[in-house]
Amino acid sequence: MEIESIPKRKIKTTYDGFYVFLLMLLPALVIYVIFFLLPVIGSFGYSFTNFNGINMNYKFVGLRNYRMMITDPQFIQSLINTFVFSILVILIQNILGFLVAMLLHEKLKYGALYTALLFLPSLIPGVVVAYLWTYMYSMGGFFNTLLESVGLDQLVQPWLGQVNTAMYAVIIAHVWRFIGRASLLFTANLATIPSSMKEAAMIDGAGWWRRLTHIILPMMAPSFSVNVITSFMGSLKVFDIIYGMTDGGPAGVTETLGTYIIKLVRQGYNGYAAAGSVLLVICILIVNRSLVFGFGQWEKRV
Amino acid sequence: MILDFRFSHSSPVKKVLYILFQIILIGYVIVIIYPILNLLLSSFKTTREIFTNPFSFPAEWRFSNYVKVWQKGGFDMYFVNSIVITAIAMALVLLFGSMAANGIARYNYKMKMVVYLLFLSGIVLPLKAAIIPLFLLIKNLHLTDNRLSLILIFAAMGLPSTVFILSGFMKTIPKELEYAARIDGCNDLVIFQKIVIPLSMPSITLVTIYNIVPIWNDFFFPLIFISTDSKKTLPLGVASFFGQYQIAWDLIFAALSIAIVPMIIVYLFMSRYFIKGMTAGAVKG
Repeated sequence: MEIESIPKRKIKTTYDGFYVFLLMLLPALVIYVIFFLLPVIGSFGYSFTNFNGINMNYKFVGLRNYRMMITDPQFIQSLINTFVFSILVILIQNILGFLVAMLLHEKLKYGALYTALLFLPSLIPGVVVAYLWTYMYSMGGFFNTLLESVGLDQLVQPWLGQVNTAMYAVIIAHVWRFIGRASLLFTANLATIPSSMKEAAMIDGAGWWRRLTHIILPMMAPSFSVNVITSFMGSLKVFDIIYGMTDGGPAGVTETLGTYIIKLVRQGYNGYAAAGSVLLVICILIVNRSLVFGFGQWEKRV
Repeated sequence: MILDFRFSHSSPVKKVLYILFQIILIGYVIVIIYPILNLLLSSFKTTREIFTNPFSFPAEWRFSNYVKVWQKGGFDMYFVNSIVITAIAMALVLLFGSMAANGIARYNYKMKMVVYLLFLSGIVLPLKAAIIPLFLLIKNLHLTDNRLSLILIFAAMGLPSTVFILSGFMKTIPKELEYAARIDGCNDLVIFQKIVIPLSMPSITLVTIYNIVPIWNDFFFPLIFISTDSKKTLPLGVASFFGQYQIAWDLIFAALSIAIVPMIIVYLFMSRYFIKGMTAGAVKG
């Protein structure tokens, strides 16, 4: 075959015709549709029934489950808890994470080592984090012993067993786990800010606060959006940590949507639980879309 | 840099700030890492020692804690289960994910956008919320209490993000390479094997790292689908161990330490890629 006879026509992108790309798509599609998409859609369907998990003679009950949701105090409580949890987690994780990232960015010695070390907690399984922190919070555990040894005996308390401290205790454990990731992203973003901009601002006489608010923060839009979005969605779905630490107790103050739905399933209220999970999905979608939109607007203006 | 330090010729005030910041940073890192260190150290102590001397090194290094947990606690089984399930699930995700990404990124057909968006929607949807139909499905397939069910579920879980990331990278493979290969007579499968995959290795590494930790650490799905002790994964095994031996903190700590070691080892080897993977695509430029 002579090289000169390369056809001038555009070579078709479907060489073997239809079938190759179909073949390539098929296995992934099959697994994905059967084990992901269909169940999610099915959940939606079951939420309109009174399925109890065993008896297949379930009936269509319309919006009854959703009406139950609105009047169920435990459900409302878990919904509120989930959002309180999420918002506090986002605030602490991202603000603290950003501050730490600024510190790391100052090119202090061993900065890279610290960044790597800070990332470790996110590699630990949720239940291990839960049990580790259960120990830390227990009577005679790490925190209480520490308080005793410095003479602050009156502060010794069962942090996880009390209604007014349990939620914060769990939040701290969760933030501990993921703050390294947030810092990592912020540090990476900080590194992309061209120093020429900062130097120009310094020459123009801008103090550090101005540099911070007018140059650095706007250019941090990408990492802020990713961090806030992923931490929000992740904390809405939280389950492992809470299950291992308090399982929703005491008195339901740490009950979140995830733990409550599982409790419902265990009790056989599968139709109702499905409605709960549909609500969870809707919450996630709404949060996701609004955050993506909001941050998109911010990034555009930058 | 906010304050733009040049240590040698900055004012004394800045030097003090510099040292202060260094101390704060070191202190912060110690505070964060300390629970893990404490865990590892305490796993060699006796239960009494853990509660009487939480801050000190163990008086004697009791490896027997680990032996007990590994043998009698059944952790050898849990460990193997986790390895097998994670490995096979990752293999499926990578193989099928790259095939699907290839089918989306490098071909043109009418349904392409539909398929792409279909996979994309999986990124926001939590599979956890579909637990009821999923459980029924597994039951109807007679896969209850079977590790294969976990493998399939984890594969389904990892596919959306994998397809998204890989198709993004595959789109950047220049068409000239493909044309040259076709002229040499290669068919699509060979092109995929010999050109697309090797060029996509960075993104494949990224995807591996991105998915391996959630799959290994997952607790939710094993909790629902596995009941026989011998088939449990590591996180689930830890949970049932904790439920059984709640007061034996020395054993618990040994168990927890075993649970965190694998991912830490993976991390140590791949820390460069981890960090690159976590930040890739999230930050422009």
